[in-house]
Amino acid sequence: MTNPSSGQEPLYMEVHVSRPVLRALDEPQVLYSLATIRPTQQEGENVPSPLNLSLVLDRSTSMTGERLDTARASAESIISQLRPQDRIAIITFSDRAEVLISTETIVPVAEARQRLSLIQASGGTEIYQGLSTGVNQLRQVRRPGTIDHVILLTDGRTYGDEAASLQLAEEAAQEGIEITAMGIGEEWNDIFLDSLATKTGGQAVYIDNIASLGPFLQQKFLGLGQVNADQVVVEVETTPGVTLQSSFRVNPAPMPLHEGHMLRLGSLFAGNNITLLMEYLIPPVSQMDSYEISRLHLSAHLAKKSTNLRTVLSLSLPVVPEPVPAPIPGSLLTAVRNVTLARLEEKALQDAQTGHLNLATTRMDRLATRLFEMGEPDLANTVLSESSTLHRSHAFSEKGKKAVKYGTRSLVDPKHGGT
Amino acid sequence: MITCHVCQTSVYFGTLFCPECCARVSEDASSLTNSLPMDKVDEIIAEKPSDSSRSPLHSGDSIFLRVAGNNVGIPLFGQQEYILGRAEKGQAVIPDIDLNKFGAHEKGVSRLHCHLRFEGESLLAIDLGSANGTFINDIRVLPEHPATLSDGDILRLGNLVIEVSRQAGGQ
Repeated sequence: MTNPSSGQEPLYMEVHVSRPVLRALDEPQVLYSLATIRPTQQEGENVPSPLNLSLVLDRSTSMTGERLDTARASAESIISQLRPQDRIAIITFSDRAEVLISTETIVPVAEARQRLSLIQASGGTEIYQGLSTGVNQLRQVRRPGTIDHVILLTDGRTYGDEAASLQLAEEAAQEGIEITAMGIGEEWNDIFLDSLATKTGGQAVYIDNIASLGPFLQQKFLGLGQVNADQVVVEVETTPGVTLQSSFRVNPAPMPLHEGHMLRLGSLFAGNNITLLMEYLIPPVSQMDSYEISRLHLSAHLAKKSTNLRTVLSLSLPVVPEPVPAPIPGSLLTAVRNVTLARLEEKALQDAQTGHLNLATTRMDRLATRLFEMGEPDLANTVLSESSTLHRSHAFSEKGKKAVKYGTRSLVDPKHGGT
Repeated sequence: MITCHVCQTSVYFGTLFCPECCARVSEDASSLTNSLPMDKVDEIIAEKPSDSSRSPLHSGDSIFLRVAGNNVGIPLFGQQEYILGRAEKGQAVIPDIDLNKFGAHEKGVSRLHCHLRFEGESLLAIDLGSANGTFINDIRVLPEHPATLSDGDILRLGNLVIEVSRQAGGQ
């Protein structure tokens, strides 16, 4: 089923569902829907929107050497590519934060390079210090029509300021500021960075090899310079009795979304769509012509027009006594399978954290079986290896845990190359 | 509720993949074709690539189908054509070769999935618009477009793998 929104809006949402009808049942049933948000306009005719970027760099002791060198080089590369309409802030932090380059002044590349060379690695990791300075830098220059983004780069755990950081992310999201959180190496707290990014519709990224930092930042920067719409939000208003069991951003940057009905999806990049998988639990229903499951309120900031789009789409299906055979859209089926795998992995991590080790290893082994079947032997072997680590030492290794988590998650991306 | 056939977890109606083992779950194992996830959507081509190392099969050959993981050969003998699929109650057209005992439903075989036909000297495979596709040596064949089978070809219906071969000494 396809349900394009009416009118000539610059973007629209279409929804595919797992079944064309609901069954009249005296017990609950599950329905999946895959919502895709696409631009309507032909691309290429638009002037890119101004970008305000805060690059927040961890300079704690553990960043010494190649990590800091690579971060410096990546920052310099971005500065050299800024367009006249863009602004950048470079913030460094350890247990306090310093503004190396402010959004309010334009610094020539040579001087930026010189300032970057002065960064010294020392001290601990207090993410709130860096993050709040980064967000404040954007607050000073943001105006209608700008794309406002924080990129946080860290290799460590922050202690005691997680709650304040998450609160700040919540406020930033409401102001239209998105956060990309990048964790280098193994020591950072993936649950915290995931949370931080998800609250704003952003992305958490695992950089296992420092050599991949530069290319990733470059790609992110180019993407942000070509955003069709940002602050894309779907608010799911369910009919009383219907439960939104889970929601997962399938594309871009696959990620489970926060529990709740306000789904922050981030930016719609040029040449791309946003895809969102939702799973509903429908209460017992009797036969009727049309049963409304939910209303999806789509809103987005159209930077190029300095306006906000709002539109509503109703998801309604007939309820019939007998099942009606119908093929399931391949993209929906693949998304459900891959999201189910990612959810199984999340459950295994939670089991391990709560001491249910047998259940965790069983789930990891089942995950490995499916991955082998799907032709993902490398990831399957990592999962098996973590399963035996858990069995032996009663905890996952930090490296293996992140490899499994972000590896399984990346399978959800339709552009993933595997089978 | 329905039960996952792999790990026996009870799940709600409408669930597509078991949350405990990610196996494909289906409400009614006897009716609908089990749709499979499509990972390779752009590999559809009309003709299978020629493989000169394999010799084409002929109508006079003694030809057997062997389902992967099963040693029993199914002979193609006595008929000019065979429909492969799943026989279900109330079905108007019954396939000549019922693949149900080989886990056809779980593997996404349609009720009328593929047609094998001797034409002239050749044995042809024709996909009958199946839900999950017919593949020869992992290349998908277009529905209604006959493709020639050779000795040793791997015919795949959805996820059900069948080797097509000439029996030794059968020439």
